[in-house]
Amino acid sequence: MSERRLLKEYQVVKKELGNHKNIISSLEPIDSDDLTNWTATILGPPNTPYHGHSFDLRIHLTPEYPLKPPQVTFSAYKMPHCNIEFKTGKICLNILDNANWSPVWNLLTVVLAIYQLLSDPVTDSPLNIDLSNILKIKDTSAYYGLIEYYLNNKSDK
Amino acid sequence: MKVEVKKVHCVFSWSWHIPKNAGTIESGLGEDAIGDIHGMVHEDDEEDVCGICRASFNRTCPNCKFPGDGCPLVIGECQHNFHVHCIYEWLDTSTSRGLCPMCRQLFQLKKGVSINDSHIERFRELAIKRQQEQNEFESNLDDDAAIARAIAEQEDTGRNVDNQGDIIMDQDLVVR
Repeated sequence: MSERRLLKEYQVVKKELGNHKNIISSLEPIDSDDLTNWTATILGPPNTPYHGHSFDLRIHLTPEYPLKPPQVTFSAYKMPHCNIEFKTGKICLNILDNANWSPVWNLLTVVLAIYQLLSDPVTDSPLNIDLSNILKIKDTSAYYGLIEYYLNNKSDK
Repeated sequence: MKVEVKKVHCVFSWSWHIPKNAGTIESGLGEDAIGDIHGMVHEDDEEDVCGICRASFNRTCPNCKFPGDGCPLVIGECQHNFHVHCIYEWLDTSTSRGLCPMCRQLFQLKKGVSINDSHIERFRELAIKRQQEQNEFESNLDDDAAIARAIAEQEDTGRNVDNQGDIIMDQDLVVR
């Protein structure tokens, strides 16, 4: 929308990030002169195979933001998750669709929603078919095992 | 003692009068003017802000220079307030589907509120536009459903033909 809304966004993030430090370890613009490109690091939620790992996000705010959703991706080849395309880091999350986005949401709510997605994978709209199939048949040990394999062996790529 | 007033400098401040129950909105100082003035000492982020642009209602939307009548707020039937420019811009996108960004109900201007009056016509036109899009979308869905039904029917008919074929063959066998 404009520089002014982005500056507001920056202020809100700086002020409120401290309340979420167990979830988001960083959320900041890549270059403080350009508030349209951000990076975030979220921590793996407890009681998930992601616990103990951290994950980087890239966030791009288009000129239409906040009337259109931000574009958010994980780093490529870093995120094994049922709703995330491993090769690209593309995220399938309903609130990031044009049709479900609301302009009252902001960067913090978006990042928190993505954190929530890590705990609550949705098998109906998979971008990682292998993980989704394992999850559908509720094979928890295979699910944990495959994710840990990805995280420990493939994430060096 | 005689005091002669030579010059008077008028100083005033204003803020939108936004009652917490959002029943009515008036511009200028309301009955609890003192409360409003006390309200002024609040930090910017403690004032009521527009959910879309995050700026205080007493300031402007991102595209305006002059607050107040130049960049007024409107109040929805659902009791959610926005800068008129912000909510209009949102409702003007087809992805909004005409819904309030806060509560996802159909956004309509609250009736009988003077501040809304001058915008009612424009918002009604916009609502009609969104409604038409929605109808088109739904009729497309209906079309899809109709096509799916037609295909299913065709398959069914195909199956009936096969069944009939079987029956005929059975009869043939019986005749022989």
